[in-house]
Parts: sequence; structure tokens; C-alpha cells
Amino acid sequence: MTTVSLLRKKLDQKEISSVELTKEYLKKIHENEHLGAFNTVCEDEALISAAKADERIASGDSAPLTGIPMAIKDNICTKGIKTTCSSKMLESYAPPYDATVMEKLNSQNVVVLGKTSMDEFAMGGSSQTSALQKPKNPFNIECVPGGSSGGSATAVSAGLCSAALGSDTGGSIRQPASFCGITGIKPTYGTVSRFGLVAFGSSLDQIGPMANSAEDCGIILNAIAGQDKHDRTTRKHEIDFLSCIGNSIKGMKIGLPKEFFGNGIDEEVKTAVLNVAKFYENMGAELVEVSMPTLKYAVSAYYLLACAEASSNLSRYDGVKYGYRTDAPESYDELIKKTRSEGFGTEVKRRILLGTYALSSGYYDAYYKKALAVRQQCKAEHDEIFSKCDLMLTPTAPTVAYKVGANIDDPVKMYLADICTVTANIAGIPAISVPCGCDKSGMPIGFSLSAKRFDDAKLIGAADIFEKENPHPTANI
Amino acid sequence: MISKENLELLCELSKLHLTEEEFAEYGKEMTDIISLMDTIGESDFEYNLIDTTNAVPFSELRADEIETFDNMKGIVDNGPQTVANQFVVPKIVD
Repeated sequence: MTTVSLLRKKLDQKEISSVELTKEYLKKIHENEHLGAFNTVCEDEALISAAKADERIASGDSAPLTGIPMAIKDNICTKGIKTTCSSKMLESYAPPYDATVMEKLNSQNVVVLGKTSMDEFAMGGSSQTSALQKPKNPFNIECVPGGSSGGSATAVSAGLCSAALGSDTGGSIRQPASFCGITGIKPTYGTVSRFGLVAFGSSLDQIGPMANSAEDCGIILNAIAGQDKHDRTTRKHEIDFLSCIGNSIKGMKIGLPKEFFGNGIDEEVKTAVLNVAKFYENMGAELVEVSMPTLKYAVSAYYLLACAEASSNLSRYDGVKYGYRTDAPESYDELIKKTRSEGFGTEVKRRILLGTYALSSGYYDAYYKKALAVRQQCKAEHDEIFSKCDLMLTPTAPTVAYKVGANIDDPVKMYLADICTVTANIAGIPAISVPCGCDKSGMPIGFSLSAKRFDDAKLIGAADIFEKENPHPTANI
Repeated sequence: MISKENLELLCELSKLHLTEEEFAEYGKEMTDIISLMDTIGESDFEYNLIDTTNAVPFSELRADEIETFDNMKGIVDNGPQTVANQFVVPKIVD
């Protein structure tokens, strides 16, 4: 397992050049094409970037990510490099601009190895709704890597990149991080600009890092966070995401919400996460039982809000300005309908229909407005919990990674599997997933820590304490 | 069960065309999904429009200033059909 912080030292001490490192990763990517982690590999661009990074390092002016090879989820706009969202709709789309996070990474001379596969338009929890590459779990290629940032999780877990960016609307960074034995953080809503992130649920979406350590996540967040004039929901909030590394956890209060440890959570997962609680207790933290009664409504509220926003956001795909267009439409109406029907996959259409239903006349109050009410209550419950606790500990997912093909025909079952992650998005709080061993079948288990808004550094510090004593599991590829 | 008429209306609003086979499949799935969504009706929370604890805070508006975008070619190259920097669509007005 190679961390960003270790590579930084090697690059600065001239033990290895960025070009050499990039060639190594590209070789490994090609050797592991069967994992389906990448929709696009940017071989030429990566080597050019690496050479520029080496010049910067030689001049003694390296930034924390200069020359570090990373992978980028395929829903983050990269100028001139295809950004497909794993959809037929955007299969040929090469954005004319960079997302703000890419501008920030490019300013540090990061090496972009490629664009990682994902659930189509980030809609799914297995990455199997992709119309392009369908990533596999490096711990067992018969299993899913989770989703929607499954390609990024696969790439980091298999050592095909040093770290990656993902996006998280309802758990899409944390759940695949859990399934693939890596660390991933969804920052506080408003920490990272969404400009250039292909929109799914705008009030829920956040870009975040997926890496081999919590410290690496902090290094990447330091690079990509900050207020952006192109995203009015970003906050002016100066945080050093590494500021709590090395801090003791002694005296901290960790809340265990009883609803997250009930029926529906696999026994091995429950045991592993409760062992994490004991670890922190032994390190001097105080465990506190807390309650989140709105959890029983969380999945419904999340899907109503996310799908309502998606149905609006995805109305832009009409075959006119960019993306897929149907052949020889006879009318403008037919152009739009046939383009959308042929360009979107099954899950995307399902969610557009649900979102349209929730927003349509006669149903708005019963569904969308009710979901907004649950959201307010959920946030109030989090405020209450974090008035008593510094952190909250839960499983990241109810189970470990499951077999490819399982659950794909049962959308309700798939949606309910998001129960452990959606509340962080609903409340806008930060949450990090960290590996805590494997189950009997050898598949990784993840635990999740969350905190009040803008306490992201505290999460990274607490996760780092656990990682220092409990190394990540490694995939045997 | 969501009715075929209701699903047809949703398709029209969503600008989606479904085949007969898809209608049957989506009809059943949507019914199951909406049953799950209906659980939210059991809650007695009321949405407070002026609640300042809204989950999505907004920063101040930026100045409304024109900025030039220097990659017209990048935009036009992504157009499915273009002529002289214009996007071409089927005839709308007879």
C-alpha cells in the first residue's frame, strides 16, 4: 500500500521521478484492465503532466500533490478529456472547461492517470448501472466494488493510482471505500466546489477524496477545498484538514446511535464496528448511546429529494447542445424524447420518473415537501447529538460487498442498502469511512465517523489514530 | 399499482418514451418504490419554510459581471449537429 505522503517524500528526495512513478501506475492499469476501473486512461497527458511536475520538483517548488498520480471519477469535468458519467448519453463528451477541483489539482501539477468508471450519472450503489466499464472488487472480482464511485475505489484498492476523487450524494464515496478496504471522506456540504461536477442531487452532492489513509484524504482536501465564485453553496471556511493529526482522542465523546445497530445490519459488520468503539474507548474516548428516530424515514426522504433534483438536473440532456442525439428525428419533441429514451439507462430513467412523480401536481406536498420536513428534523437530531458528542460512530454499510448481479433487479432492496450513509448527506455533515478488518469471506468491512459541520479535520484525526494501529486490508491482485 | 395513465403522464413530463414491455416493468417497480416512499407519510413533521437551519446554506451573491469564455470551439465541437457556431435542431415552426 503506497500512500500519498510516502510518495511525496520519495519524489522530493529524488528516490523516484514522477515520470517513473506514472509509468509504473500506467503499466499496472494495463495489467489490470479486467478490473474495469477506468473508462478513459490518459496515458499521453499523464506523462506530459509528470514531466512538468518533475521540473517543478527539481526547482524546489513542489506543492503537496505535485507529481502525484491520481484518478478522477468520470463525472468531474476535465477539459478536453472525456467525461462520460458512464452513460451512453455523454459517451463522447469532452468538456470545454475544467471543474474547479481540477483547476486546483492542476495548479499543484497533479498527474491525472484517467477517468474512473461509476454508476451511470452516479445513480446506484454497485457501479453496475454503468453503460461503459463495470468495475470489479479487487478483493474478489466476482463481487461489486460498491458505488457510485466504484471505479475510483477499485483503482485505489488495487494500487492503480495513489488516490482518487469521487463524489458522494448518498454514500457514493463511503460505501465503495468500505467495500474495497480504503478510506473515503464526504466533506461537509459547502467545503468543495461542485462547479464542473455533473449534477445529480445538487443539495446533496459533494466531491471528496478516496485514498489509502485518512492523512492522504486530508492532504487532498487541503488542495481542493475552498470558496468558489462559481458555486454559491461553498463556504468561506479556512480549515487545515491535517490539523488534528496526532491529537489524542482522550476525553472525546463518541455517540453510538442505537438505530444503526439494529436489525438489517450484518452481525459480522456490527461486531467489527463495536470493536472499533472498544478501541476508541481503550484510547480514552467516552462512548455515549444516542438516538436518531428519523432514520426510519431517511431512505425515503433521501430518494425523494435526490430524484426530484435529478429529474430537474437531467432535463438538460435533450440532444441539442452536447451529448448523445438520436438519428433522424422527425420533430423537436421526438428529438428530445428519443434522445433521452435511448441515451439514459434503466436506473436513470427510473429515478427521473420517481423525481417527476414527487414534484408533480397533487403529490408535491405528500412527497417532496414531506421529505424537506424530514430533512429539517434529521438536521435538528444531528445538532442535538453533536451538542453531546464530538463524533458519531456507525457502520458504513449494512453488509460487505455482494456478488455482481445480486440486487440489480430489486431497486427497493438496493435503495434500502443506503440506510447507513444517506443521513450525512441529508444533514450536510462530514463523514469518513475507514476499513476495520474483513468478514469470514475475506471482504472488507468499513466503519463510519461523522461530526458536526466543518469538523472534518476532527474526523481525519480520529480516523488516523485507528489506522495507525489497524492497517488497511490489502487486496491480493 | 401505479396506473398506466399515470405512468404515461410521468413519461410525458419526463420526456421519456417507454415501450409496452418497459411500461409493464416500470409500472411494477414504480409501485414498489412508491410504497417505500409512502412510509414518509407516517411522520408528523411539518416543513418550516423560514427555518434558518436549512441544510443548504448559501454564500453571498457574486457581482453580476460578464466574463468571456475563451473556448467556443470546445463548445461547438460537442454539439451533435452545428452550422456556423449554431446548434441545429429539427424544424420547430411550419
